[in-house]
Formats: sequence, structure tokens, C-alpha cells
Amino acid sequence: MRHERMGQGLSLPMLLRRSLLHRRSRTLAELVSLTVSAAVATALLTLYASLDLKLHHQFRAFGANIVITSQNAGQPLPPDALAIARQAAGPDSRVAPFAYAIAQMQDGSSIVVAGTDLTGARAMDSWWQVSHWPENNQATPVQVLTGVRAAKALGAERFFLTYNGKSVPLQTAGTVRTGDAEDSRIYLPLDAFESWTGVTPTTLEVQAAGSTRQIQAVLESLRLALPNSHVQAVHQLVEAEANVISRTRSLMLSSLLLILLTVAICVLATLTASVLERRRDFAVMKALGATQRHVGLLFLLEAFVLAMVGLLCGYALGCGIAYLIGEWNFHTAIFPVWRIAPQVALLNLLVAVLAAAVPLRILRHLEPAMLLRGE
Amino acid sequence: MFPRLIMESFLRQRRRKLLAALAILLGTTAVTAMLAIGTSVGDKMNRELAAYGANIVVYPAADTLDVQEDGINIRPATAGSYLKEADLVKIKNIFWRNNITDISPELPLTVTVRTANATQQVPATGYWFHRTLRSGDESWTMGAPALHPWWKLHGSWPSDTGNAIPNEIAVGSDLARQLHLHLGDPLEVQNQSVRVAGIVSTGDATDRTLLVPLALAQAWMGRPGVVRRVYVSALTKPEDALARKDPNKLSPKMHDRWYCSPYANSIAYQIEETLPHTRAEQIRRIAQGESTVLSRISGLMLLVALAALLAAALAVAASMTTAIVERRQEIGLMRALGATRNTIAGLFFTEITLLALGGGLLGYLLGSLLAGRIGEQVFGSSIAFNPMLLPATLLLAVVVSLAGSAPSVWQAMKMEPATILREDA
Amino acid sequence: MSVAATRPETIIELRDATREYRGHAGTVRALDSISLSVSRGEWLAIMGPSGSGKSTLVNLLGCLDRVDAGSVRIAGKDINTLSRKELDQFRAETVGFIFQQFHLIPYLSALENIMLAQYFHSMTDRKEAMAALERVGLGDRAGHLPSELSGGEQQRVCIARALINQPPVLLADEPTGNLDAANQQIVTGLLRSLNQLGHTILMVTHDPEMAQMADRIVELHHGRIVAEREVSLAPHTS
Repeated sequence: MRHERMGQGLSLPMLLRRSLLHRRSRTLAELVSLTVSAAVATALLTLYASLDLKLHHQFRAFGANIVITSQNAGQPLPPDALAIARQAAGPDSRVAPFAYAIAQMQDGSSIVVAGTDLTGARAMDSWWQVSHWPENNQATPVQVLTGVRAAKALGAERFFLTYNGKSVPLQTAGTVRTGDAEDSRIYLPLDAFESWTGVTPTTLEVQAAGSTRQIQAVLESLRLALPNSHVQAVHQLVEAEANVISRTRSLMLSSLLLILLTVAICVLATLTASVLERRRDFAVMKALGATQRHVGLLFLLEAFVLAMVGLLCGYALGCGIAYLIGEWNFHTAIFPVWRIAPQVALLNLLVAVLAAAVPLRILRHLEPAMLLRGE
Repeated sequence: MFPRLIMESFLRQRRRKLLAALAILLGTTAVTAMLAIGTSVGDKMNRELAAYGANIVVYPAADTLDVQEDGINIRPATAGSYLKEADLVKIKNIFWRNNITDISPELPLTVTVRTANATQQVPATGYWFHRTLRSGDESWTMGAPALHPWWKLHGSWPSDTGNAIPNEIAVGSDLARQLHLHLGDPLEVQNQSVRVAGIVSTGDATDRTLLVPLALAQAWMGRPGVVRRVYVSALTKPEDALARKDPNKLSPKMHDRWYCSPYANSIAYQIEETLPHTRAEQIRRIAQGESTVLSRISGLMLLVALAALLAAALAVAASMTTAIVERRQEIGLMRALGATRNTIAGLFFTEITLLALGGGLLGYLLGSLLAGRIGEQVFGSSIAFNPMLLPATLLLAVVVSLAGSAPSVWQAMKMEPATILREDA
Repeated sequence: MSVAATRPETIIELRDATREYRGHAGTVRALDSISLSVSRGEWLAIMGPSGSGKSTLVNLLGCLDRVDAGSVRIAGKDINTLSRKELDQFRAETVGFIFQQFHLIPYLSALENIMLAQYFHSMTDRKEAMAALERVGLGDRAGHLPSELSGGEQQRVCIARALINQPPVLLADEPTGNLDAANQQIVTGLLRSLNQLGHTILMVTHDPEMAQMADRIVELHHGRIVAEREVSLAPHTS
């Protein structure tokens, strides 16, 4: 070490390195605040960028957001509609067909029976509270899913229903509770339903994934693919979603600004302390003929080096935080969003520039006279 | 002497305290605002979501099955049992009455419509549009339009205030197209002439129905004062393990906790208590969906608030360190003049505590105002001052300021007075 | 009045220099119409109690401050005509500072502290810096950090640093105020030999014995020069 102190000339990088290494705890404090600044910016911007997708994912809990019916109410859809809709909606969307008929119970009263793809309905309608999903499609009597109110009206697990004079035996495999119309219905696998009633699906429910714009795109392609059908977005859902997401985004943005301001104060404080602690050193340099530019450059370079290291550490840390928040809160990981890197860098630069203003002012007002003890 | 010293210090060293005061102020402002937002975001979002549909449905306990296909009731008009319209105001008397944001009764029926060209059977539903409910001194306006903000209306809603039998109806957009009806057109329903006040586009099966004032539907059915079912929109707490419990199997203490939490289930339970012979159920699609979305957003905002807390704590601690570094000379001077460490520590920590309390109080006020502004901007309704946050904010400001300054104060006191004096010459 | 008129070349000349400070309690006249000249190669000691205007005078002589009235000429330049920036530049060229607290940069070695002065002045020259260090007898301490040096050694590094750019004026502010007797001896000897080599030294001190080293002593009181005397050739200044 001592050898090194003799062996080289004096240069700005060397001064920087020595100064940074000499005051390790102070350097560390500056590095911590600059790292926190970058980490917070990264984490919040990553969250902000992934917010749409994550929240849209949550809105899947509401089920289908597009409903396809025939032009005239109650008329069946074309037989190939399901295949066309699946194709047009794309692989990320879910599609479930529904066919309805009114059958008679043994006492003569009416009940709505529905045929559907039970697997599809299960995936899409996560809010259905089902005691047990029918599993065996081939069993006789046909295994059905019975609404809780319908089950009460039927009284027995095995029963007969009549449609158009054709009577079939059915068995309740499980009950469904939704608090809505489903509670009064009986759900059959679509094949069994069609072979019994001859009625084909009248409704396709589509759950399109993605942002409002993506849903709109799916809606458009469905309309193109099925020109003779009635393709409608579920306004209730789409509007609620857009509303909630835009509000959450605004909240995130205000939080981001507020937190960055706080972090800027933190950086300002550490940079100021760093200059205050070394007032004497800087004054000596001025007494030795260093100009304001020299001293300012030395300080700024130091801050810049720390800011760069802080940026790297903070970016990594921020990505980690965003990932963890994703795991905790959304139960899916949030991965680094590379395109925010320039914004993070810019924000951090802004914070550093704002924070460097006060120390620079202190430096400007340093007078070598403070080193003299004339009195 | 002691108070005098502190007062002098505040009066004379305003500039030196500026950074620390600013950090405390900004830090507490940010924390207060973020916590206020974080704790109220659930409530606010709940209101946003509650506007998008009922989460509880009430129907007669002795009801026969709904025979509904595609949302249109096709049961014979005479079947089933009914609720009393006059009882509905009782829903606003339950324990969680303030969480009930809307009540919308429905009475579906099939009517005969005669227009210039044709005579046809069409489904119709009786609704409240803008019904004023009164209980005690309070009154609320409730009805279907408030519960379905996505319904697009041309014209106006049929008037359903006053005691006269109304003569205005609204028509679903598909049905209007089919029957060639336009705004203001007259038509005859059940041999009574009415006028089309509005045309409604809903995007669902309601587009194929008539929307009529409840009183009119009751009159056509010949059953005054009845409704078929009631949709209720309530602000609820996201469902957790307790919410899913069967209230009748809970211990009395747990039952009280369950009862006094605004779960969709417990509100439904309270409605059943109030209206005998009814079933009230949460509409799981809405209730479950809301609870998922709400818990995610609240969780997110609380995590962000935590980040703000951390940033603020760091900022305050850093500024405190800076402030002490700047005043090391003072400490050295005091030591040189023979002040004991306890005196100096007492002086500095008292000063810092006062600064933290002052900054914290101001920060709390500013933060609350800011949260209010943000609430107004984002939700259109202010976020109320949360007095609970004041002690928390103050405590936090004091603890963080003291913790942040302690290391530098100790360090300054450990140094030889002469060294400090010389160093900061 | 000026005793130094007989000297061949005047390097510092103050004429009716007045400096006032405005504070809460009104205007304080720190220097009241002072006239003083210093010849090249002279060793001047400045004495006076606290509040006598001593530090104000030193600030003026060190090109750290300007007068409100009167004039200060140093090395032929009227200080009041210089801009702040020019003054900074001029100071770096003209005055070498020797501080009571040495003020070495803690993370630079003795040699590097000297090179730092070269660095800010023009360009570093290791050989020259090493020679300066050897001149003050610290050739073997070049790689030591200030914290590894004794007070006297630090002051010698400080003197070497003050000399490195060959300024016409050395300003020593209580150069031995922080030193023990032995080190005081060494530093005093060093200053004397520098003076003999022709360096102009302005020295602030409150130590009368130290002041006896100088050619001339100026005593200030209430912003005025109250006494000014040549030091008779004492045995140790021969």
C-alpha cells in the first residue's frame, strides 16, 4: 500500500479511488441511498409496467367477458360456431358453449337444463362452488351437476326428466352454488344433452385474456369470424376492469412520484453530509489553487461513480423486490421489464442532479479563509 | 438554561435544521399519504366495483325454481311466491346498513304489446328507477340505473316517483329495433297506453325486454306491492377463512366476529334475519371476483406504502446524520466547556424530538391533504383524515429521527473536543 | 511612516486599507485605514489579541478577501481590480499557505499531498515533489499517510507543499501553534533557512518568542496598527 502511494502520479481517477476508499462508511451510506433510490424506482416502475397484465389476470375471476349468441334470441348458433370461435379467439382465450332447454320434472313442473363443456365451464367459472364435478362422461345414468335450488326441488339424486316426450334417467354427481340463475339449473355434458334434446348451443361464453385493447381485438376478430352472430362484450365486466385498472395505475404513479421525492431527500442528505465532512479537504484544494470547477468536478465524478454502482445494484435489487411482490401479492412472478431501464436511469439521474445541487452550493461557498486561525 | 438553549438553537440555527426538518416533513407527508391511501384503497375500489353489479340477491324462501333462459324469465306469470316491496326499506336497518349502496327489486312478467303494426308477447321487468327510501331522518335514492352503470340510456328513465300509476316505460335496444319503436312513441301494453321515455342498451338479454316502473308491473300482474327478487349491492370485505364458515356452527365469540365483519355472507345473513321467509345469497361471481381483485390491489398499495415508509425512514436518518455532522463543532465546543455527555445528549435528543414532533404534525396534515387530493383525482371522492395515523406518524417520526441521529451524536461525543474544533475550524 | 522605504523592492503594499463587516448589530470596522508595506525577502510577524483585526489582515494579505476602501497591492497587482476568479488564480500563483492545523488531505501520502499542489497549479512532477520533501528532511516519509506522521512532520509536509509552486509570499498562520517544543524548534529552523534563501514570510503568531524570529513585528489593536518595530539582530538570527 505504502509502495503504491509513492509509485504513481496524481490523476483524477486515483484521487476518486482514494477518496472513496478512505471514507468507507460514508461511501457506503451514499451507495446505500443511491441504491435504494434506484431500487425503488425500478421496483415501482416494473410493477407499474406489469400492473395491467397482473390485474387483468385477477379479473379472470369474474369469468367470461364476451358472450356470443345468435342474431335472434333463442335460435341455435351454426354448428361450427364453437370451432370458429376457438380459432378466432386465439389460444389464450377460453371458450365454453351453452345450450338450454326446459324439461319437465316428474311432478310436471319446469326446470332449465343446460348442456355445456363441463371442463371448460370449470376453468372459466372459478366462482362456481361445486361439491363434486361429474367425471365420468360415459356413465349411465348420465352424471349431472345440479344447482342447489334445483336439487332441493328434485329431492333425490337419481331422477327422470322429460323433454319433448323423451324421458331420460339422470344422476346428480355434485351440486353447484352461485347465488344466481345457475342454482336453479341442471348441467349436463354437451354430448349427452344434444343426443337427448337435439338442441345445439345457443350461447358461447368467451374469456379473452389480456388488456382492454387485447380484449377489444379478440372481440373484433370474433365479429369477423362469426358475421351472423351477436358478439357482445360483457359491459359490466369490461368497464369495471378498465375503471379499476386505470385508477390503480394513477395511484401507483402518484405513489411513485411521492416516494421518489422522499428518496431524493435521502440522497440529498447523504451527499450533503459527504461534502460537509470534507469541507476542510475541499477548502485546502481551493487554497492550493483548485478552481470551483476542479472541486465541483471531483465531487460530481465521485457522485456519478456511486450513482452508477448504485444504479446497477438498485436495478437488480428492484427487480428482485418486484419479483417478490408479484409472488406475495399476485401469486405469479413479475419478471424484469427491460424497457424501463432507461426510465430508471433517467429518474435516478434526475434525483442525483437534484440532490447534488445543495452540496455544489456548499462547495461554491467554501473559502480557504476558513482554514486560517487568525484570531 | 436548558429550555433557553433549545429555544436559541431553534431561533438561530434555522438553516442548519432546514434539511432535517425538510426530510421529516417530506418523509411523514409521504408516509401519511401512502398509508392513508393504502388503508382506504380497498374501500374506494370496493365502491368502484360495487357500482358494477349487485353482490347479494334476495328471494322468497319458499320460491319455486327460476325458469330463466339467457337471463329472461319464462316462468308462467302466476307461479312462485313474492317479497313485499314495503319491507325492502328494512334492508337499510341491518347492522351493516351503511355498507348497503343500492337496493334494486325486480318483478319479471310477460306482457302483450300492441304497436301500430303488430301484437306480440314480450318479456318485461318491473324496476325501481329513482326511488327514494326513507328510514327515520335518512333518505336514499335507489334503483336499477345506479346498480347498472354500464346501461346506456337514450332519452330518460321512466318517472316512478309520486303515487299515480306511471305511464312511461323504457325499451331494450334490440326489442325497440324489432318493434320499430322510437323515443316518445306511444304503444299499448296490456291494454294500457304508455309512452317510450327511454331506449336502453345493456349488452345482455335485458336488451330484449321492456323496463317498466315496478308499480306498473305490479298493476299489470294484478299483485300490488310485490317483487320477485331483490338485488343488493353492498361494500364487503374480501372473503377469508372466517367468512366461509357456517355461522351456525361457530362459537358465540367467533359468531360475533363473523357477524360484525362486512363479509358478503354475513350481510346476506343479516338480511335474512330482517326479512323473514327470505333467502339472501351472495352472488358468487361478483362477490368472489371482487374479493380477489380487492385483496390484490389493497395488498399492492400496502406494499407500496411499506416502500414509502422505508424510503422515508432512510431519508430522515440520513438527514439527521447530516445535521449532526454539520453541528459537530457545537458538540465539541460544549464538551470543551465542560458539558457532560448526558447534558449534550439530552439537549440534542430533546431538540430532535421537538423537531420530529413539529415536522411530523405538519407532515401528517400535509400528507392527509395530499391523500385527499389524490383521492379526489383518482376516485372523485376525498380520502378522509384518518386520526389513527397521527400518533403512528408522530411516533415513527420521533423514533426514526432519534435512531437516525444517535450514531452521529455518539460519534461526535466520542471524539476529542479539540479534534472536532480543529477539524471544523 | 513606512520604515520599509529603504528596502529595494516592495512586494506587498496596503494603503488606507479598510474592511467592514455588516452584521445584526450594525457595521463593524475590522480594519481601519491600515497602511503597511512588506519588502521581498522580509519576514513579518503579525501580532495582536483576538478581535484586533488580525485575521482580517491575514485574509487580505493571503488574497482571500478584498478591501472596502483603500488599496492592496501584492506583487504589483491591485487586488481590488481582480475578479473573484482572477483572485483565486492569483492567490494560487502568489501565496503559499502554512496552516496551524497542517490541513493535509488524509487519504493522500506525504508525497501526493505535495503533488496535489502541483496538480492544481499546473502539472505534477514527482521528482520535484520528492526534492521538496527531501528539503524539509522527510525524504524517507514520502509514502506515509498524514495519520502516520507526527505533528512536526505534518507541518514540514505542509511547508514543502506551500513551497512547491515557488510562490513569492509564504503565509504562515500560527505555524507552531500545534507543536511541542522539539518540533517547534525544527519548524522554526526550517522557516529561518527559507527566509535566508530569500522567501518572503508573513507569520501570524501570539507567541512573542516566535515573533522575535521575524525581521519586523506589527501589532494590531481595534483594527489599527498600534506598534511596529524592527527586531534587533538577536544572537540566534545571525
